[in-house]
Parts: sequence; structure tokens; C-alpha cells
Amino acid sequence: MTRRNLIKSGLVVLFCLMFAAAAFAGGNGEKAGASKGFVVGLSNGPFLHSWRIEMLESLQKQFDMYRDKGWASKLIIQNAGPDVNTQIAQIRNLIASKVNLLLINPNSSTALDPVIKEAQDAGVLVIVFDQPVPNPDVLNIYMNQEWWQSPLTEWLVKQLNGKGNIVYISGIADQPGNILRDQAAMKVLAKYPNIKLLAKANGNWDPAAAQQVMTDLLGSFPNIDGVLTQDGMTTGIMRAFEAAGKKIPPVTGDTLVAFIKDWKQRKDASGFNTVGIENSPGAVATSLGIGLRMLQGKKLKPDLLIVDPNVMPVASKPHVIWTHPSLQVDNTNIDKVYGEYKDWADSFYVNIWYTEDQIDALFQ
Amino acid sequence: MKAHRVVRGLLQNSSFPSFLMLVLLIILNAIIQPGFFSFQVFRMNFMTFTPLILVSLAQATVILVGAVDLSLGAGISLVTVVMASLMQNSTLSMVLVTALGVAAALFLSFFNGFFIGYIGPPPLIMTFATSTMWFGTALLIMPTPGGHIPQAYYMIYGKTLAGFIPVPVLILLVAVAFCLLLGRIKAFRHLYAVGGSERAARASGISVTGTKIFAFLVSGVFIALAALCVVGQTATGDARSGQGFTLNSVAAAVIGGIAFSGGKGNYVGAIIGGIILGLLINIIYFANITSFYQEFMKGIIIIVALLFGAVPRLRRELSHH
Repeated sequence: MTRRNLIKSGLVVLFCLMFAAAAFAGGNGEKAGASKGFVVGLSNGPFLHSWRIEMLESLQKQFDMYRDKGWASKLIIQNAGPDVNTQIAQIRNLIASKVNLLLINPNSSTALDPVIKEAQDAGVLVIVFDQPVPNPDVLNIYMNQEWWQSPLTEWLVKQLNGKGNIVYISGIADQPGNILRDQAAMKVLAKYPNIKLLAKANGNWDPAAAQQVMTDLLGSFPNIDGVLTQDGMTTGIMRAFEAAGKKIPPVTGDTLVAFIKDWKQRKDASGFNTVGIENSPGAVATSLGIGLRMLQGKKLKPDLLIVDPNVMPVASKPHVIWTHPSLQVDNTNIDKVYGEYKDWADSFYVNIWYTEDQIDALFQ
Repeated sequence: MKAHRVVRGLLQNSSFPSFLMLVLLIILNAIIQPGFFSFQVFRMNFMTFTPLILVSLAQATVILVGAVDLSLGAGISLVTVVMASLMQNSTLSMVLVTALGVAAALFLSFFNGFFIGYIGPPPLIMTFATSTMWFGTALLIMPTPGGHIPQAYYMIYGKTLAGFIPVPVLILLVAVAFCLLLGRIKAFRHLYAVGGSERAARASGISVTGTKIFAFLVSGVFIALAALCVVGQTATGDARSGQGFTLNSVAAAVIGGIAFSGGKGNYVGAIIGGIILGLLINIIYFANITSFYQEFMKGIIIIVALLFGAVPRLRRELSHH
């Protein structure tokens, strides 16, 4: 026997053993869950941004609360990175671990459909959160971007008394969430004919990129009365005005902890005024609360599930729960919010989610 | 005496260390993954392993001839996009589009092989360039993931034939049969000659250009099979769905003892390398490593696997000095 053949036959034997054992044990794989309470799995994609880190910490915290109440027994968290096939493999492992509730922040809006079906066929309750999946058979829970963007836009219009020249620094151009925010902003602005949108540019949710495009816009437009922006770019925009030696006009804010600190300082020093609406990483905890109640057999209020016309044809089966932003920060409550978050890391976000009472109110 | 020689030969085989690593990882995996030997888990594991093994074989083929293919992942994505944008519900359409998908994969590989063979740019740069071309084309056809893959088609991937052969295992058997067939073809042996030394191969009358194109075409067959698996498990066209396979395939091939310099290694090693990467996903999962360390641990285990793979070479080099 040559050495190559030896390895080959070794491999064949190994495979046969695995295969035989698998075939032999077929059907014996079922084991009853020993401990009480439901097993919860989270399949997350990339784990790089502080938003996602805070998301996992919030989930763990909320889960611990439910575990102490005896509602849940085990939480398994898996991060796939940006690769969709790894996420699929991890979801299969979560199915094999016999999770009862599977929370997914999807890497692709469509590619997870077959593995979601596998999970559902295995009796797992699947909830997709944060980003929509256009699949009428899976429960989606995410914030309505219009409910988030419209109040910001309204605030700016009010600051300008419905009249003036503005620019809009938007997020990443082709991101679904950003497209919806742009639409919501335009819908509000259309109501005010005396507000003139000079230009719209993309700052990609990155303060440095926002500062750059704002600097460019300042060169082209000397008469900017206000700046509309969203989600983490206000700091960069204000720096652009300061670097150009110009007075900062009314600009919408955000709830990044670094900005909350800056805001409080500027307010105390010079009466700075803005608005921010939470986009909490902890929103996943709301999905956990809803999922556990559903597993307990509680029924959602019938009119709660809707069809998101931005994602699916209106005639589809309702499968989406839109959540409301839980907190608007402005100068009436900035001192209180600052007090709560002043010791948090700069890169974190104001983090708040539905209370137990608010979640209970979603059920019959 | 003879037994002694066999054992020594075994220790020096390029796939032996990775084989040991494989046995080790299987034992580890079986300990920590509940129901590892249950049929359900076996089936689900192979749904994950099969595409990894296939891309490992694809990459091993071109590495053997002294090249590398960085466009492999983007090629898979492009095939999924082409298939998902054309497929209809009829059986005829499914068959035709499948054939078209396979043809597309072969064409992409041929394109790489043709340029590398005739014009001679460094394969690393050439396939890096084509990877952005494939990705761009996929985005052009399908800017956001979607398209249509009928349920009757993609559900095949999760099915079990005759009660005990999961379809992914069947696909793997097809690939293995193809490997065995290749072993009997003279052109395939030229891969080793060209990968070992182009000049020596040319001097002995082997067509270097033809051999390179042949290698890329063989690689294209494995890429096509991998793309079919990805379509089966994602039921969608997605310009990014193959991305992760590029570097994973290189890692799998090298872990499996394929020498990056070309000309050394074999398909058994490539298959082992693919399974090792698949087992890694499981082990990191079932070891319940906290989020912060998951990626880190994956890197550590890959390095350990590479060290295992380097043992025969190190032994050889050390014994020379």
C-alpha cells in the first residue's frame, strides 16, 4: 500500500464511520430541553461598529432580567461578520442547538429566506429586527424611519419660522434606511414652499466625511440659514462652520454620547439649541420581550401587524411591527440626558427601549 | 521493515498533518456539538461544508499550477445573480438556467486562465482585477439582492435522497468522482510539472499556456458546483454572497497542504482543508466564545492549522541543514 493510498483509505474509513454513526443515530437526535425557560439565539452580522457592540450588551442585560424572572434559560450570540454564508451556517447551528426564539439582524434582505424556513420548520420562532426582510412569513420588528426623520425636519423648519435656505447632509446613498429617511424629509419640506433646499449631499454617517462635504457646500453657498442632517454627523458639520469662521446656524442633532456631551457644553456656554431622536442599539431588547411573550402563548393585538409599503406590495400578509422612537432630546431635557450618559464612552449611543409595560400593551 | 517504511512515508505525506488536524477537530467538534452524530446535524453540517470543500478544490487546482484565483468569490456571486435574474418556475427554465450558470462559471475561469496563460500578468493581480469586474457586473445586473429562485429548485439542496444521502453529500460525491477522473488524465499531471517549474515543463514539451487554461477550467467546474450550492442555500442573487469564499478557499487549500509556491499537494488535502474550515465555524460556535473573541479565535486556529500543515516542509528543510 502506498502512503497516498493509506491516507485516502483512512479518510474513506473516517467518512464511513461518521456516516454510519449518523445514519445509525438518525432520529435519536431529539433531546428534551432540561432546564426551564426558553433558549434564545441571536444571529448578528458584523461586530465592528460600537452600535452593534452596544446592541449585544443591551440584549444580554435584558436577557439576564428575563432569566431571573424564569422566562428564559440560555442566550447564544453569534456574529457572522459581513459574510452571508457564514451567517447561514451559524443559523443552522442555532437550529441544532434547539433555540426557541431566534433573533436575526440580517446580512442580506433575501438570502436568508431558505434558512429562516429551515428554522421555522424546526419549530423556532424567528424575528428579524433592525433591517427589513421582504418575506411575509417572518415577523419583522423595526423602527419606522419616517417617525424618526419627520420630527427632526419639522424642528428645523420651526427654528427658521418656515422660511430660509437649507442644505441636507444625508447618510449613505443606497442604504434602504437612508432612502426612507430622505423620502420622509422631502415629504415634510414639501409642505413649506418658503424653505429652499439649496443642495443635498451624502456624509455617509461619518463625521469626517460630513465635515468635508459641508466645507465644500460652504464654499458654494454663502447664504445657508440652516442644516438638516441625521445620525452622527452634526459634530462634523459644526466643525466645518467653525473652521470656515462662520456662525453655526440651526442644525439638527443626534444622540451619539459624544454629541450629547458637546451639546450640553455649548448650551451652557452660549445657549446652543438642537434636537436629537434616539436610534437605540438596544431596540433588540424590545424584540426579545415581544418574542418571549409570543412563546408564552400571548397574542399580539390584531391591528399591530402591518405591511410596510416601502418593502412589500400593500396586498401582502401583514408581518411587520413598526416601533416608535422612545426618546426625543431637546433643550428641555438635555441636562437630564447628559446626567445619565456623561460617564458613557463617546462612541456609544443614548440607549433606550420599550418598557415591560409598553411591550405588554402590544398584546391582547 | 516494510511497516517502518510505510509509517515514515505517511509522516512525510503532504496531507498527513492536516489529516491529523482533521481527526483532532472532528473529535473536538463531536465533544462540544450536541448531537454531532445525529443525522439532522450531519445533514446540516454538510450543507455548510460542501461549498467550502468545493471552493477549496477550485483554489487548490489553480495553486497547483502556480497561480491563485482572487476572483473566485466574486465569480460565485455573479453566477448567483445571473441565475436569480433569469430563472422562471418551469422545469425547462430551471434546467436551462442551471446550465447557463455552469457555463458562466466556466467562462469566467476561462477568461482568467486565457489572460494568465497567453499574456502572463501575475495571477494575483489579474484575478484581483477580474474580481472587481465580476463584482461590478453583478451589481450592475442586481444593485440590491433579489431575483427569483423557485422554491422547487432551492429546496433540493436541503433534501435527502433515498432516506440517507443528503443532496450536499451527493454533490460532494460528484466532485470526488470528477477528481478521480482527473487523476487518470495526462493533462492533469502536467499541472504539477508546470506548477513545479515552468521552464522544466516547457523543456519537456508540455504546453504551459494550455495547462494553465486547463487548470482554470477545472477550477471553474468546482466553482460552478459551489455556486449551485450557494444558490441552493440562499435562494437569491446577491452581488456579495460569494465574497467570503475567496480568502477562505486560499486558507483551506493551504491548510490542506497545497504549497502556495505551486506543484505540491493533492486533492485529498484540499478536501480536508475545506472540512477543517467548516469544523472551525462549528467549534467557535459551540465553544460559546464571547463575541469579542470569536474572530480572534478563528484566526488563532487557522494559524495552528497552518503550522500543522508546515510540519513536513519544516522537517524537510531542517534535515537539509
